[in-house]
Amino acid sequence: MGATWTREFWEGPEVTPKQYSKPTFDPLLGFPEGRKPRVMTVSAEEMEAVQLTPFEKNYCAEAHIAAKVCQWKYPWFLNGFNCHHERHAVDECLHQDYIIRMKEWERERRLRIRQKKIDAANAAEDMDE
Amino acid sequence: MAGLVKLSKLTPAASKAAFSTMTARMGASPAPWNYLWKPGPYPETEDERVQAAKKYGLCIEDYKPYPKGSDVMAGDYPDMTLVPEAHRDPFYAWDCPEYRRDYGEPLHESFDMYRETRYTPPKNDAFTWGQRVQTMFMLFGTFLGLILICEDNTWIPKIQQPVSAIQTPKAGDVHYTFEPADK
Repeated sequence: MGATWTREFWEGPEVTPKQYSKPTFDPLLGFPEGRKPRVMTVSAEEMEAVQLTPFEKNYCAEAHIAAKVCQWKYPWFLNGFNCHHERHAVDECLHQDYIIRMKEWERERRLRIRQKKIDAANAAEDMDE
Repeated sequence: MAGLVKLSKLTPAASKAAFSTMTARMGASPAPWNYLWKPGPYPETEDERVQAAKKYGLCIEDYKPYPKGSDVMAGDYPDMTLVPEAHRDPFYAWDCPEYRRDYGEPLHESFDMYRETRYTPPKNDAFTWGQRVQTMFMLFGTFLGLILICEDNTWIPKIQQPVSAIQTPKAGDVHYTFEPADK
């Protein structure tokens, strides 16, 4: 569980991005075929009509709406026994979103290491000259 | 004791008894009596001191009233040394064991506050109040010092999760997946 801490301990703090920090490099750097952008499948009015919480108004909004609508089909005391598929779909979507964010963090970290090597090489060149 | 029996003060002394018979005949609660036990005024002369000491069951050498004009406003009631009920010997054969008091022993002015079922001040306290306050400030100071040192300190690694910022869809932001763009 202390893997991130250990890596930061050995590799240094400037190379390790902070948790929940935004990426600093160009998003398309290193992708010769480009990247598919994420799309919102539901409109803001729909999200507002279903009364999604601010946390739920993300790229998984469609799954959240399906789960909420399913929840209203049954009385409240049966809610725990129904809508398993919809609730699982929400969890899956959030899981994929978390994986994307982890990949972004790792990409940021590797780009920083790469940048460090470039800077060291440039500094060595300047010294040689 | 306070605010009692204003009626008897308004009427001449002769009709004091009339009030008690009147209330007794009407079948009301018992007539007020605690004005009869009110302490006398502060003793000025030596004679008054001797009388007061005898009234409260003390030797004249032991009798000491509260200072004149003190906030206790006890008149000639003696200034007894306070021994709370819980601090008295539980194994001695007191005349009144539930009060831990012998018969005729003069009571402290606020003895009922220091009953065993009421407040008891600490005896043989393990730590002084100053030590407790000092310990509290030492602890809080340590916590605050650690927070100040460790927060936003690049030299101290953080236990954190390897995730980047939460991606909420906003008007100007573009977020990407890791799949190649559709052609």
